[in-house]
Amino acid sequence: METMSAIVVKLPEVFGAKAARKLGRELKNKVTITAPHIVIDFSRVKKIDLKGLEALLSCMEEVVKQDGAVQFGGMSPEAATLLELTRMNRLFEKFPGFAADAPAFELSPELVSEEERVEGSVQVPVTA
Amino acid sequence: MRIAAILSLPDGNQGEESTSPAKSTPHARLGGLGGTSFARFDILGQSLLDRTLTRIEQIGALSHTVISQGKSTELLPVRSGTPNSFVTAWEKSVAKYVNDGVDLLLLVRVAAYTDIDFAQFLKFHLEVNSPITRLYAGETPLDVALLDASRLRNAEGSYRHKLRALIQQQRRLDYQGYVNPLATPVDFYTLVEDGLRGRCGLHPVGQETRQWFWQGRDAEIDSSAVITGPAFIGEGAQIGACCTIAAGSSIERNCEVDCGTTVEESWVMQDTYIGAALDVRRAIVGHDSLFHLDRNIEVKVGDPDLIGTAPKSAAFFGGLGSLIWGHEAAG
Repeated sequence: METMSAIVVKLPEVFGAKAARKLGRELKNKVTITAPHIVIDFSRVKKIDLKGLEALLSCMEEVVKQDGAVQFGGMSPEAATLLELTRMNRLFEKFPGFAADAPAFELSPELVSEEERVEGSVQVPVTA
Repeated sequence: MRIAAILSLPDGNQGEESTSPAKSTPHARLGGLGGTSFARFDILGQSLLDRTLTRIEQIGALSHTVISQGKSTELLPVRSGTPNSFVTAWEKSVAKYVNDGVDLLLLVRVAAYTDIDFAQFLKFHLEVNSPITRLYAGETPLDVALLDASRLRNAEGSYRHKLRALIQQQRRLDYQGYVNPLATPVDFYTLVEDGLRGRCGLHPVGQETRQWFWQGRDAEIDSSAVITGPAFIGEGAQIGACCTIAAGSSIERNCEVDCGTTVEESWVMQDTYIGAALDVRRAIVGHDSLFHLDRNIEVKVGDPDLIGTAPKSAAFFGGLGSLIWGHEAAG
């Protein structure tokens, strides 16, 4: 079984334009490998606007270009409702699943050290 | 026999008063956030307040007064200690009708929904000849009472003190019909669904253009939209191209559902805009919020391109806020 790294992205409570821009920057820096595995953690999310949704789509697009995969981590009921409303949940379901080591999810530290805690990302090992 | 009615509305601005003959006006219906009583929201094309007023007029009530209750939940304000603005407004209304020589006062709190037959209630009250008759569903008092106004004449002190003395002599009429407590957002959707499926007397206000599908005046439905009954599209609502309005849905007046959106088992409150290509299922949608019926949570969408106020609406509409704030929802 091959072990590779996954990037856990922990989204903030409000995922709007500002946070979306930051996610774009972060992912650009982090997604340097081929076939990246991204775990998006929505457990804190209460609100997502169109800019946030666009950022998620861009993220998916980038990952697809590099033959990677995206899957949900934690999910708040608010985020689940918003993703269903916008049918984004169905897009996420299109990606092939990958298994992440359970302890890695429990770590889920945040690397955000900038002026606002908008999102964090950390590389964790996953098995593919 | 001269009959007058005092209707009290939960929530809203305490003590705010309006009198007949006008029914609740569009302006009153489009109140500010939190100030709008849910009794003023359209449900299947007409508000509970207007439906109640229509039924009251049918038993010959000459006039009525509508009082907003604020936080008070009493139909008969006999337990209130210090008079608040609701009690003051109630006393003023009773005084007006007693002095005008009204024989019977019908007191209604527009809260829980029932299919009560007011004519039958009036008949019972006259037969038992009691000073007060109240409606009960089992041991639960429903918020409807008939009061013999002549017993309040020449009252010393406040009317509510006089009423407190009379309440010992009250008679009950047991009601066996449909009751919806309207205590949670889920109850509101249940009422919508029960109305659509003919389980209660809350009929959609519109033309039944085909079986189980009612359409209000000037509703515009794109020819490519698919509608499965039972469903209701309210007056002036617009349903865009390729939309699907599935069974158990009510789109109230002046709503706009944009292209490609699916609405299923949901209540879209009046003056709401729903953006393109969305999927609204098992939800109540109003103004900028969505209440998910299965998750029992309210989500502030916060993006007018997704869910917002319809361009057609004349003014800001309180929408879902009043439902949620009026009835605490478990998170």
